[in-house]
Amino acid sequence: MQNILKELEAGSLDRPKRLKAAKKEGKKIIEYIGNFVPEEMIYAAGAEPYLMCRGGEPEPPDAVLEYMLRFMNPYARSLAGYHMLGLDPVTPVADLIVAQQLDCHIGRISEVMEYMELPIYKVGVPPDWKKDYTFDYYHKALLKLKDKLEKETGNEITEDKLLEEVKASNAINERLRKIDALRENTECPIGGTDFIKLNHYSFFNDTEYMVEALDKLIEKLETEEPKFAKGTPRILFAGHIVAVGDYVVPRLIEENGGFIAADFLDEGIRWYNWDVPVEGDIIKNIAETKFLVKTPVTLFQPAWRERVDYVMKLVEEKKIDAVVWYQLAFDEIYDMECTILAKNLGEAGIPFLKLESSYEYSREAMGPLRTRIESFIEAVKEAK
Amino acid sequence: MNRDVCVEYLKYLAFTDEQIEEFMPKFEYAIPVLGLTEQDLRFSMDEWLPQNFDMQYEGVKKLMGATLRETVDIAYTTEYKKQGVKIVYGILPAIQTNYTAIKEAGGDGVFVSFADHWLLCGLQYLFHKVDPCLEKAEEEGMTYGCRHCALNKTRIGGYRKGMMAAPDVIWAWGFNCDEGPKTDEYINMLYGEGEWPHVISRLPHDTHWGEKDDEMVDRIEFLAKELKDGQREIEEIIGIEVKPEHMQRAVANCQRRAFKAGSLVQLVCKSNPQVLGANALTMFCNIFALPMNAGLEYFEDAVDTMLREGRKAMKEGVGVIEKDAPKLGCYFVPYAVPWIDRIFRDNGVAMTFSTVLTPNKKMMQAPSFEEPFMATAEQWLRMPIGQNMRYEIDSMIDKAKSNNVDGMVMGFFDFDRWLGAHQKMCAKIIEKETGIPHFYMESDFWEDRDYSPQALKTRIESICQVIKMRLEQ
Amino acid sequence: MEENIFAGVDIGSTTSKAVLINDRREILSYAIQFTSFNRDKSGQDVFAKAMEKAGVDRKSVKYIVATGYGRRSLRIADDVVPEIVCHGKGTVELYPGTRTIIDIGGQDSKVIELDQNGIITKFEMNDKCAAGTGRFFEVLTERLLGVSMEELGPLSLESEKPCVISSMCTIFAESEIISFLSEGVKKEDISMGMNLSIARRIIAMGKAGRIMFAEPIVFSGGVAKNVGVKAAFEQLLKKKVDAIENPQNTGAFGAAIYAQGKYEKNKAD
Repeated sequence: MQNILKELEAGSLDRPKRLKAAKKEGKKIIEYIGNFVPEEMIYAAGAEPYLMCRGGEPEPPDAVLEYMLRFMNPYARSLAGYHMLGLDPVTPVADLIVAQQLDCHIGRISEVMEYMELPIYKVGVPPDWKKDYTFDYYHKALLKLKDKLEKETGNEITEDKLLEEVKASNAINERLRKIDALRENTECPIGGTDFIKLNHYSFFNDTEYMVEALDKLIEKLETEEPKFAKGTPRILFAGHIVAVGDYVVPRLIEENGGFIAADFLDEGIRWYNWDVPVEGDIIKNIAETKFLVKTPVTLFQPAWRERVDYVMKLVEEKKIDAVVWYQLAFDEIYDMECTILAKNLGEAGIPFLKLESSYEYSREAMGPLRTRIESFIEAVKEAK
Repeated sequence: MNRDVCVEYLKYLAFTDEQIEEFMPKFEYAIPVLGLTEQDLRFSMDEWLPQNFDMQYEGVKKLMGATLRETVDIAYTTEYKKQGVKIVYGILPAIQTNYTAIKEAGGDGVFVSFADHWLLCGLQYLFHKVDPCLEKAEEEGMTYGCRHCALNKTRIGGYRKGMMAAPDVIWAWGFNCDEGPKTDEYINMLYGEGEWPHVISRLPHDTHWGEKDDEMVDRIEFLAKELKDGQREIEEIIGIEVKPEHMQRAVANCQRRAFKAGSLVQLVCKSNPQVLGANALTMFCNIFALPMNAGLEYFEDAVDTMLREGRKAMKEGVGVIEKDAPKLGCYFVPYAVPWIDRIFRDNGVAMTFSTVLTPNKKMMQAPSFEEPFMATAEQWLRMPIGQNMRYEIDSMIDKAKSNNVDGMVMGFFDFDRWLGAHQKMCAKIIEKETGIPHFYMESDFWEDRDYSPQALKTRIESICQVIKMRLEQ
Repeated sequence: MEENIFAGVDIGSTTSKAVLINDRREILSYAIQFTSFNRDKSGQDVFAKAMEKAGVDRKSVKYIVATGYGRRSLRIADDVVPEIVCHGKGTVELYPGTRTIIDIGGQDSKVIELDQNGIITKFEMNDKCAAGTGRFFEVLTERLLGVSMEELGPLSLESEKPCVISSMCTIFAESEIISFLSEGVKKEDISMGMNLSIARRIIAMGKAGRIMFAEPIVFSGGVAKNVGVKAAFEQLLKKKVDAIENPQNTGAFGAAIYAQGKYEKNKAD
């Protein structure tokens, strides 16, 4: 199993190099921010997509402070911060950066990028999603994106090409669901940290290669020794985002006696439970799946009733012992949702731990973080 | 509470004897609801207001009086509700047109106000006493460390402390705010679903660098649809029909008030010596932005009075600061923390207009659309904060130049990820393009628990010195 | 038969503590010393001191549990348990039935909620800045007021009109205190203002985490020695708060109880 994960990691790390080579061959490089930007459309335009999602280091968020308020979440700040520090290998060669416009953090960071004269293109996502005309707005935003991508690449996004990409994406989702299902048994060979990483690898490895690798991995996992012992507390890991590289918190949970048996994150993860239907108007199907069908992201409104219900369902179905909520510093809407979730889980008697990161993982910061996690898991074990 | 102190206080705020008699029952009702004491009233009239505001003007006294009226009316909402009056709230940032149209239609049968804003202003602007509300919200989950907006905390804390009733409906515009509308969902989820009915209208912030938001017809149409749909929902919930004539009247009233606010800004910016301080000026400018249930006609009277007094003072050459004192514009003068303006003045520099609340040339023009929702949508998008950053910058440059300021102060919005996040960039660009020096101050607009006078004094003194040195060169 | 001895060693950021107990969970000795940069040595030294005090040798100590921020550094430890859990365990053993623990240490502060069985159900920690910790007092009172920590509590109880210190940040609170001093405000009013400010912040932290401050409430950690802070909690919570007599040893005591439990479990297995 480890070999396959390593290969996938290497494939992810190598992606910028492959992109540069592709660019030399005349391909367009298109970065994108957020799950409301369909990667499949970029592939279908014959371009190479690259998800901007790095995080977990303290310097990049600080790099934007000359231009930006301190109290923005560190993931959003990192999006521009890596580039400012010269640590982003892709942005300098990107032909276009497509950014979803749903929340203020990404919204204003997009403007920092515009200020830096980066080629930003915005896809508007109205948060009040239960209205016909807001769905139309997002649907039209995707149609406009199609035009933009066609103009940028000189390639037409045909129904057939898009269908092919959607099918490939669904194939990755299907395999991730299979791996996710293994986590129903606590004596499982793969933990939540690796599962999140697999999601990340799926953004940076070529689709076909990823499907093959996941098939091999599933085969291996069937015979692999369990990584977690029976009775290990089963943790639902929920919150905003685990950015690429920000693995400290999930790793500490699993190193200190917990097993991330399920996850519920808005970004930086595939929405693997929601496949796009392959019949009919594909762009409309994409819009419907992301905007209407999937459990709403926290920024949507209303969202919290449905999200709490979804968490409760996961707790029940996945036999969850405790919930760890992971949010980023100054992420005001997630901070509010945390209070609501804590109340609901408290009433149901489910232990709940809130963790917050500013991407500061110095030795001084790690001590208290580890203490929190260890104490929580000990308390859950004791209560069990 | 000693009634004589109440009478003395109301007289201090330019209430007539008749007005005092009429207002007193509500005032006496509201004092304990708002957690106020005799000591608070004394502090307000003996220290806080005279130290921080130009209380020599009848107009400023009336402005305080109108604010008090509105705050007291909010404290009275529980009683209104019992009497069957429909309670409608709204939140910032928004413009008043649609809300005042509801009031036009419903008259005394409906209460319409931006309750959190006026509650915060009443408590903080008049008594420096909003902290208990904020602390209540923090205890109930709006964590201190996340830097949530004080207005949203006031909505939660004020409601939980019984200072304002749950509305029949709150109409939350989230055109430039994520947290504001989500606060209503939060209250509803925490304190019982259905407890806090709300209608949400949102607009993606997705126009590109320099695009003119108010000239994009499809954008205006979408926003008009949001407004129309929101209003329809409100009408259904409260059972009051808002007819086109109510909207038209509201648009016209808003236009008139915007003109008055614009005139006052021009008067203050042109006067030398400057006739009025920026904290009162900015508060006056709320006249075209914020709906009020009880205070609006008094507010307009206060503006009219101030315009008269300001013109007179200008003629007589009397001001609130010495002649030829350097003038600074501001993104948004923090009127709820009025001592900031005072420290500037103590250092011989006057703050003047607020970019956000100063109508630009376009806003003073008649709307391009007759249909009232299209007209309102266009009006919103003409506001600087309704636009993408580059377009907002164009509007800011226009105002900085036309008001002929010596510098601009940005900041005071560290809790606001929309309106506070981009100001450093705006400052850099405008300074580069106009040569007008820009200064940035990390601070809060609504409260001063973290940024005490001691903490900001040195920064303000430095800004004042730099401005003076530049002018001397 | 030779008595089994169990040790709990709490290596905190400022001080290291060790407690030895016997099979009946009776405290045989308690030792404390400052934590040096070498946490392992600090832990070993304080453990040796505790053994010396109790007159026992290393052989009779059957199991050692380390806790505190430096717990992983102690090489002689048989196991490690996080300090929040040890605090809970130790406090409940000393004060059976405790439902809420307020713990203010040198570098952090915690509020712990326990159920009727003494199991931790919720906890909140303030670990990022000095506000709301012993350090807050150290910086702001000892240095600015020139009053020692020991004198501070009794002094604050003499306050008739506590001043309001609104700033939650140590840096800004410092400037507020300087300005109060220059205005001639009495030291007792400033120190009670400080107590109320810290208590308010910690109560808000707990309540934000939905901790209801159920009684009995126990106050531990170094700051629990300050009677003024205890009074401030009682005033704001309108509930009785009991300060632990020897507030600094609950973590080490809890660790010793874990040591006993783990030893017996291993033996049974």
